[in-house]
Amino acid sequence: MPDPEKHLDDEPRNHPMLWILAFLFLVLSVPFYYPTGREPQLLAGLPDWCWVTLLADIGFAATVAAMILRTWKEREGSKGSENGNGCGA
Amino acid sequence: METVAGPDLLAALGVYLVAVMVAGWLGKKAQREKSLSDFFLAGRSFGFGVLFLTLYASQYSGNTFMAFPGETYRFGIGYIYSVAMMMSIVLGYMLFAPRLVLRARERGYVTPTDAIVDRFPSPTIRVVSALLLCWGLVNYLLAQLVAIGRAMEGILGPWFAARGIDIYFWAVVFLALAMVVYETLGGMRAVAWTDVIQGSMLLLGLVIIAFFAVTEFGGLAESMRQVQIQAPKRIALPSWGVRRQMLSGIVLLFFGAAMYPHAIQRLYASKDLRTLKKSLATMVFLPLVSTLPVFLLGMVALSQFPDLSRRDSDTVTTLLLARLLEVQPGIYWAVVVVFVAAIAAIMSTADSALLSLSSSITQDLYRPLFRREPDQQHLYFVGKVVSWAIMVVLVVIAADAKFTLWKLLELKFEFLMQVFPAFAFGLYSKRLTSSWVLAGMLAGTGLSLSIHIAATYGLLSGPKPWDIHAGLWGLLLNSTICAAGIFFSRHTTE
Repeated sequence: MPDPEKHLDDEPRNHPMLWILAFLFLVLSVPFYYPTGREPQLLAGLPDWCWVTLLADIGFAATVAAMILRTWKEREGSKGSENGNGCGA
Repeated sequence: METVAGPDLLAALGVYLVAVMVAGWLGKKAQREKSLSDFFLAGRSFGFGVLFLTLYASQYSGNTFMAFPGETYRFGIGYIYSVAMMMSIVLGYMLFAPRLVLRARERGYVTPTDAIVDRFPSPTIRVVSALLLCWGLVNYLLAQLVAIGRAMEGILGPWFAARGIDIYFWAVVFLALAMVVYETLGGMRAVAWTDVIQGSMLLLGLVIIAFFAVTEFGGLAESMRQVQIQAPKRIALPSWGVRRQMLSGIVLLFFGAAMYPHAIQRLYASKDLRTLKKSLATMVFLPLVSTLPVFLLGMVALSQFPDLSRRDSDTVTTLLLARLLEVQPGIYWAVVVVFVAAIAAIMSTADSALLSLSSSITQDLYRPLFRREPDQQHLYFVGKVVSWAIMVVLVVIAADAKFTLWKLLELKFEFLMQVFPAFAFGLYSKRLTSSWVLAGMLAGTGLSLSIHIAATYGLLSGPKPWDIHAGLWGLLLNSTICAAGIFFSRHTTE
């Protein structure tokens, strides 16, 4: 049986730093870092830690998008690849 | 409280239903052959516009409109983690999608189970993994049907009650009938093309509702000050236990929702890799314009209705829209659009789950057990019959639902994620064998179920030991068994 993985030029699992970065953003989206005794301040309606959460979410989305667009590559000419034969039409 | 006039909403719903029926009929006309691949995967032909909107519409559902604001209402400010939770699903795909999509194209997979059995050729694994995935889908579809009934009840309940009509029951029956008709007409094409309509309406509806909810009632800052006065616990910094629950929720969807069979089938259905990558890279940002607005909606609802019961909190979206109309009557037709968008969102997820469920039953359970010779026309016919049968059974169950939407969701992921190790380990390890995978699946499912049963009978304080979901404990055991299998196995192929 042919091994389809031979048609992969690159894949996200080969880029551990991107995974670490993505998981760091996920962990940052939960306020583990926030001192328990401190009273959160409202900024534009939301507690200050919520803004950190939203920034972490944006960072996470950007990291995952980069992972998808930059590190997922199939060999040219493989069936349905970016430069190969579309398999649907 | 009557929100909008019954005839106006029914007319708008009628226009929407005509549009989706036309899409279903066009899907039938576009059919190339009577085969499972053409019916359930639209011949693997989706371009960016359709793929992106069908992924969006099937992932963001009645839960987005109805359950998420209700959950925000109950959970409080900490529910902002739902944005990361929905984003994490796309990262979950990255653990297996590059290899899976390639194999699906090369070997013609129709269902997620095809991929597992291609790697682990065991009839028992096929049945167990198909049953786990079907359990998740049945659960999901049932939740959508209940959501349809509750949404219509919330919007037009008093109007219909005044005329002696049980709108919950009739909404479930009528809209389920509409879904099964266009689904069996055009299969995946019909579902995806209706998703284009439904996904566009969902995005539009969310933008409208979030804009008015945040700008009316004195703005977001004023609403949050009200929450601080009326429900201070809901805006306080989450405790350590709650923070662990937030992280556990993110991990739950990272593994669990990435296993949604209908989403995996959409990965199979893309025209090419460029289309799929663009769609997923866009999808990861969508919680910022979908989940975040409904989170804010839940917080604004908390400021307006601080004392709702748990069941009533599932209808905060409807209550808030009614309150919005009181202060701003000029947005009447925008509210009508939002209501139709809410129904559309629920239907888009329900039809996707129905299609995936019938494909799984036909391909993974019926085909190997009763008809070993592949006869595409026969299977195509069976797929349609299965869709009708599933819908009849679930409508009967949904007609008498007595649980909150979120409880249904929790039980779904517990089982779906037990298939994850077979996918991920199977794609990357050539040493892992079927017996270890099966042992992991059964042990993981057994542990998750045991925790739930123990919690139900009071042997545990709750279904989240140490604030971590039962399914994740099961997944840990499941993955450990698979890892041990890789360590101890000497085989290179099966």
